[in-house]
Amino acid sequence: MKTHKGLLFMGMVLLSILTFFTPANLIAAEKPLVKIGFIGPLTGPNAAMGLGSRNSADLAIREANARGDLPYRFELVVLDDASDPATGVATATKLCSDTQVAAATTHFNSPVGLATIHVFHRYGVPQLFWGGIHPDITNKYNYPEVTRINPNTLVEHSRLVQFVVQNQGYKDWSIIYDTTSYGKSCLDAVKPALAKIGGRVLSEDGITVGTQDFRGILSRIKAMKPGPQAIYFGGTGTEAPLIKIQMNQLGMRDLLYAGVTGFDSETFNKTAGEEAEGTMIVGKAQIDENSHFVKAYKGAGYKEYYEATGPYAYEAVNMIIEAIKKVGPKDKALLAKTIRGLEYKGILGTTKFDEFGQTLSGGLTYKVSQGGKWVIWETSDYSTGKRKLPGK
Amino acid sequence: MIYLIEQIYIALMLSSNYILIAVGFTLFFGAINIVHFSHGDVAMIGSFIGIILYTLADLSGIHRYLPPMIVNSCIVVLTLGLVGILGTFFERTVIKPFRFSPMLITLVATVALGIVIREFVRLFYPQGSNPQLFPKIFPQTAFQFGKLIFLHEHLIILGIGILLIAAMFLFINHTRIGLAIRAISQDIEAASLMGINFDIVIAITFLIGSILAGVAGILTGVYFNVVKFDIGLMAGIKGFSAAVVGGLGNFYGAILGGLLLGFAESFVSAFIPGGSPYKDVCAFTIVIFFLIFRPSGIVGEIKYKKV
Repeated sequence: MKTHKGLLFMGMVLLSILTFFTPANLIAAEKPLVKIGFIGPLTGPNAAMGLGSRNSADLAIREANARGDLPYRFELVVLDDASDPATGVATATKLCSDTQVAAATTHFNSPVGLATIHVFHRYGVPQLFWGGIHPDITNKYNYPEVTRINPNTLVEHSRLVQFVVQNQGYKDWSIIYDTTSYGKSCLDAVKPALAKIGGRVLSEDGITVGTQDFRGILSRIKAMKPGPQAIYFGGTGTEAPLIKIQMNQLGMRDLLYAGVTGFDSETFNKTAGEEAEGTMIVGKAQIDENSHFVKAYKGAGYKEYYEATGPYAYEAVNMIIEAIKKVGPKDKALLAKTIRGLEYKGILGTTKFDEFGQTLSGGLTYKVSQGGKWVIWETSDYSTGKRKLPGK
Repeated sequence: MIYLIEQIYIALMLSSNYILIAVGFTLFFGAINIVHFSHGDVAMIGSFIGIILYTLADLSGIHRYLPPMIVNSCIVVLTLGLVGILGTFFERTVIKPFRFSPMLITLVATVALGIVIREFVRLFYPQGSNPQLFPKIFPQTAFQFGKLIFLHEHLIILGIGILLIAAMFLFINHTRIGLAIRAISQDIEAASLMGINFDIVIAITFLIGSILAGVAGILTGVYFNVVKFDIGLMAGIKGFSAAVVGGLGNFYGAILGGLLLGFAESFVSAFIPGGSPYKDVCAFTIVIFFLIFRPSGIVGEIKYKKV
């Protein structure tokens, strides 16, 4: 009786499988499966960024499958690096040992990326970064497999000084940076960028993450003769708004406060409130609310917001698919070469790579804090002259 | 010169924060020989209770009927009261059961309590991991003295702190309950024999200490404008260090220790170019030096145990 029951069950399973594969489904199933990897922090402190980017990557895959114009069926393999280099290496190894994986888009955190590039290089799997800002990821080893669609600190800072020094004329800077690897890479990028175009560094101060009192540093900067015209902070999170608030309290409202993508989040404006007014940054790509990406993302019903990094992950997967369209998924060395050679027009504008596989544009946008929000410079009251930047 | 005055002002604000917490440590240690390692987190709770009460008051629309000064004063008083009660509650639940256990047990229990408090705030406060904006509960005016700017809110909270510490000093030295606290700190058994209700006196000690921590919490919020769930950890360590440097168990010691730590920190980042990353290193090096060369602290007397 037991075996009969088992047989009956098996029969039903078979039947349901058969009915599922109607002719239309069969055609889809005939297309060979190509896997594209996604690795990012889905848990831990940067989970929001990781989840938003995963959804965006997933959206690109869904769209490619829905278009059905390629002789492949795409599947996104999602893995979690938890912002931890050791976990990152383990997941990268797991991903690369799957031969069906053609390429992958990876990592929010630079330390994780710096650890996994060697894995991808060893397995010869193309790795396109959607996050991570450390220059060494692309520039140090220049592995042919590694490319990055996200601007690195060198690119960010050369754009920042271009605007703040050349366009707006703030030549003398005081630099504050946090002593994490992020803050230090900002320091290493901003000094040469400034020197190159004739800006001057009047002081540099490191702070440990978690510091609350910046009045000591700030008041010393205030007392300097000659004093700086701008204060730059290379850091993130809690410290960025605190420095601005304390600048204002010490009566340093006539100094420009500037930074890069590290504090391009609404947390900065929310925390500093109206005190943030006039802060100037080079921010991540600002995606138009009416663009195809935003509409499709909202339409797909993802639970999480796409965050600042989502568009990069979306673009990265699209670029991988574009390269597969050209040369197929089988020859990974050729695929990597093709990705590097792409000149892709997408939601971040035109993306192409330099000799290190680093993009030089990455959709960077000048933003200014106006009325408690980041506003794109060109559309702000500051560019029309209605409001004036500090010290002007 | 102006620069020096500005630095002294900054150092004083920082020191007062440490002193308020250090006094609590000293009070608890003096009374019942315990180190309450979650005391800094009690201060952090003070900041958060302040934010919550302000938000509630704002939502209830009470500002429309009463002048903001009265509402905000009530918020401060209520916050301090609640922190005091909470601190006493922690004593009853986490510290009292180990009253006759080795000191190490209380130490572990209070460290654990600190973790519980921090994670509780992080998990249950909306977006608790993020920095939270502290409401502007005091007048946002300032007076300028040459190139110096003094914000009234800083001076008010500093004044409250100094007043409360002075009041506590008078309370301990000139009232019957104060006498009882001092009696207990000298000899628990003899004090009990004299009819002092041990439990109540210790509860009052914790009430006072926690209220002062609450002031430290509000001071942090007002001074930095932003608070975070984990600020209590460092505040606790700094406060404890201040108490140790000054002489654990000694009231004046806590004040001197707090001043020393606050001044060391601000002066290192103000007068040594590139010194700011080392301000904690410097402060704690001072602590280590004291532990090695003068373990009883600045004003503490070395107690020799009779064999």
